[in-house]
Amino acid sequence: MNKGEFLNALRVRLSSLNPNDIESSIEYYSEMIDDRIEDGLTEIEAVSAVGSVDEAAVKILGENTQINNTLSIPNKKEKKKYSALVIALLILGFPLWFSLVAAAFSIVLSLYIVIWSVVIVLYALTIFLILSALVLFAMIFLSLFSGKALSALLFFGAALVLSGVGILTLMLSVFFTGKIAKLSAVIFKKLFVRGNKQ
Amino acid sequence: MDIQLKRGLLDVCVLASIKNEDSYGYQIIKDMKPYVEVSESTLYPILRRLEAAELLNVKSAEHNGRLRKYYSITPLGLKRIEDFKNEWNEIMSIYKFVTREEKEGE
Repeated sequence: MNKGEFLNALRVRLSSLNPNDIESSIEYYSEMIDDRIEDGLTEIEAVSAVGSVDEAAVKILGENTQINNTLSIPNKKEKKKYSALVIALLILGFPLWFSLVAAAFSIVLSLYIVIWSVVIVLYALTIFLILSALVLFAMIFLSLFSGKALSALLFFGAALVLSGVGILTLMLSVFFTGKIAKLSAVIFKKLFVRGNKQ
Repeated sequence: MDIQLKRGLLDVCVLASIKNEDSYGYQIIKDMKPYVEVSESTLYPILRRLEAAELLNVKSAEHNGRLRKYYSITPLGLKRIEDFKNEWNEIMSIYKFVTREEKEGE
């Protein structure tokens, strides 16, 4: 085994440590091998004089577990196992929870669309009323030209009524639009914040 | 030898090897060899432990175009050696006590 092979094998065994500890160990063994080569050994001899990779890894890992809080290590392992279990359950339960979530989502979405459709109806009504009022105003002039004063008066009254109701529905539409927009903003904000917290 | 006892003794040996002048890993092993054999893999955790306890300092210096780590003793490290000398008197009297009954039995 040459120096590079030794250090690579050691790096693999130490992969559970943090990068600084790994680098420090590699530097130490690299220096030890170089010093022995400088002392007259060949590279292969120097590597075998330093000892086995297993022995080195066991000593380094053993020292690290002693330095670290002994309680923190089992906790870490438990946490890892727990999250692995949760992930497994999530994957296995996918057909169940996904359909439930999809159903809940579509119900909420349809309710939301229903609310908006009421507003859309109000707008449609407004447009209809105002267009009708405009037609009636046009009818006033037609009636006046053809000399039917009473008809013109009737059209005038009807046009006034329709415009009045039209303006009322327009105000209602604008009012509801504002309310729903505010509500949507609040709901989306809450969903967004919750998503961030998770 | 008892692992805990040996651990403590080796700590002091390593400190003693850098007491008079700074040294590096391979040199420490060679200096200790006539008295106690220490492998590279045994020395490394000791050096890490002593550094963490601030009994020695580490600095890298260039040697033959590569970096080599040199270890120097701190005042705390010197105190550790003095403490060991004092403890040794205690250990010797314990040794006398332990072997006293054997001598009486003979």
